[in-house]
Amino acid sequence: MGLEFSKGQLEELVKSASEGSVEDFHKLYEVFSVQVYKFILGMTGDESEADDITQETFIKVFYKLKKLKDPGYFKFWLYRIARNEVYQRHRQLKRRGEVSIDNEEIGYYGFIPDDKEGLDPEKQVMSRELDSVVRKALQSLKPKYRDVLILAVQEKMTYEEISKVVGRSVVSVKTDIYRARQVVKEKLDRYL
Amino acid sequence: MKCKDWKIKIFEFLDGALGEAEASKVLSHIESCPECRRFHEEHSAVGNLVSAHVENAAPSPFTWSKIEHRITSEPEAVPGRAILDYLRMPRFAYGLASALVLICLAALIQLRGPSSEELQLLAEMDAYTIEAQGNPFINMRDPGEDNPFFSYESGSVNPFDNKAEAKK
Repeated sequence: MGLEFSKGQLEELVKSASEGSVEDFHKLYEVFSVQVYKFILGMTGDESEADDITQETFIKVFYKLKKLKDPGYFKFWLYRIARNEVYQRHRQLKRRGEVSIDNEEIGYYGFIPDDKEGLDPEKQVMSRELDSVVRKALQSLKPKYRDVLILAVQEKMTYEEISKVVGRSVVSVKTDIYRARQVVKEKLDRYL
Repeated sequence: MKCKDWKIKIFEFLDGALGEAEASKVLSHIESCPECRRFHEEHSAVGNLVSAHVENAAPSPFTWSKIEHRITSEPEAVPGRAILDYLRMPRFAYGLASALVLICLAALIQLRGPSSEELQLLAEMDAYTIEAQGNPFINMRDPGEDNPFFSYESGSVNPFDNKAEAKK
């Protein structure tokens, strides 16, 4: 994981993968999978669902890669597909009347970062509670606020980059991040 | 600039959207304004919490194997395949099966034709009609004297043939 490639090398990998090279597509997966997975996890709040959606995203990317005209656009295109997959899954669950990503009543999803194992039991409990509260705060946001906030805060994307992913104007992205930050801050107020 | 405006700048600063000059202005204002300093600290902490809650998350180690298996063993998704998948859904399968059964029944009824009893009944009905109203087909073959085309049809005189008229 965490392979380092220059912009030019990445574009070469994208071209090669679009011609059907599974080996080079694997390298692209190694570069982007963790970030994409974190984005999806932030959006869904569910680890196994994030795994499934990551899988579907990369499969879709492999088959559609031929249609990508500019290899330099790959990263935004990848996030865009991931975001669409999250929304599609959300619609499917909604149709079936199952869990919604807007639902605030989601149980603890069992995601426990490894570094918390080293903490004393009291701090571990506090840390897990905090993770749960953050997750619930994110889930309480409207999806259109949640995606831009996660892309800005978690993925450290610029407004222009986020605009390319979500397909909204830079002004709209800025406004939505502003609102999302305020809502999340209100939810987390007692922990600040 | 009022604190309200500085707060927007603080958001942009936190999102890394400001150049060096503007960022240093924001930092110097934060140092001098307790309200904006608190605002910056709180929102910075929110950002850290949001980032930290997925900090060590990673996809399952089996995810790539599943992807590799799918992209190497499954044929490329072709347009229209989604429609086929949709048609394979149980509700469509049941609907299609019912429609086929109805079509088969209708075809069987058509192919069987009328039974001998039905044919007998039809013949009796025809005989009754002919007896009561006369045979309509006989009248059609004998248009009668009032029919102006009768002579034309028999070929004796053509009323539309001007040349024949002139010869007379």
